[in-house]
Amino acid sequence: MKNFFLAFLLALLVVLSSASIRQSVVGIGGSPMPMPPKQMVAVGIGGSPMPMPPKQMVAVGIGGSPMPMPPKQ
Amino acid sequence: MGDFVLTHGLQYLTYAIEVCVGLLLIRRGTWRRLKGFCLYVAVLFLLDSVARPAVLHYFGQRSATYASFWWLTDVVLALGAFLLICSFFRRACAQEEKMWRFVRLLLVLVFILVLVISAAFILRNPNHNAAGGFTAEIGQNLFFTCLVLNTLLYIMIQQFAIDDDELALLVGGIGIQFAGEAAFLALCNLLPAESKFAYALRFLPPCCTLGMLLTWAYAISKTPQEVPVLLLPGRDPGMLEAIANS
Repeated sequence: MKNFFLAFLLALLVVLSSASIRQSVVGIGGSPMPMPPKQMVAVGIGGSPMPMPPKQMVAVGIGGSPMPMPPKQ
Repeated sequence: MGDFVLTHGLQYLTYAIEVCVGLLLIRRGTWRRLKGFCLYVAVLFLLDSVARPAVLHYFGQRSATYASFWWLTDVVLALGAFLLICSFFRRACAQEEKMWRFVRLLLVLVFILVLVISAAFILRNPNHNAAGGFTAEIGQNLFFTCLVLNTLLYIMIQQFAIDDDELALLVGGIGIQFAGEAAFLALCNLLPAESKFAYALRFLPPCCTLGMLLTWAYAISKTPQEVPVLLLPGRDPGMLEAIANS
């Protein structure tokens, strides 16, 4: 039980850290985020071009393929 | 013109390196030992070098089909990366069964929490396209979770002085991909959008993938090649063992 509680706390810490990093790197500072440079909309693993990320969501991805437009909001 | 050549050059170079890593795994027989890793390289190759370019050339970059396909495959690759990191945790805890039981529980809880947080995003945005939005959201959340878990794994390898150079290099390769892209997003926000440096930054994400693949290729080629030993009739097995150990 103690182990489960500890694992849950650590898991929560990992997920909250990842969410914080995601929010931080997507928008450092309080000012509204500028549009990324032309054709630079997101990042991903692999060589294919990447689509546009969802609205107000600067995304990262796996693969090199070009990133398409995001799912409609 | 130069921009076009560089963009497409990096894109096709990534595909080529993905093929090379796959061939290297087969040629050196590493696939027998690193089954989970080989499966991820195979999935990366099939989705990124075969399926995505096929859909891209058939439907075009601005089509909804390509967008849906890209985001769906992105979740598959992020999930694959998560499972790959789990398999690396298993390898790091090979001597510590008690610790592995704790890490396994932790990884299951992390995955459940990522699902819950991604679902909460959809509930918080009722106008959001549920299926598409959830796909993109869970892909991105898994991506950053992998970044944190991979960093923890690297710290664990150093802290417990795990003597496994190959594992450290494979984990380092994943780190280049995930941390490199996180740094890319941060730099995008720090630099003025019109600056030359910001313009050059857009070549960083494919370079991160290239860095990961090249590190993996180095890790695979650095490990000694597995040679099948033929035991001929009349040959003493003890002698072969003595030669192997010498």
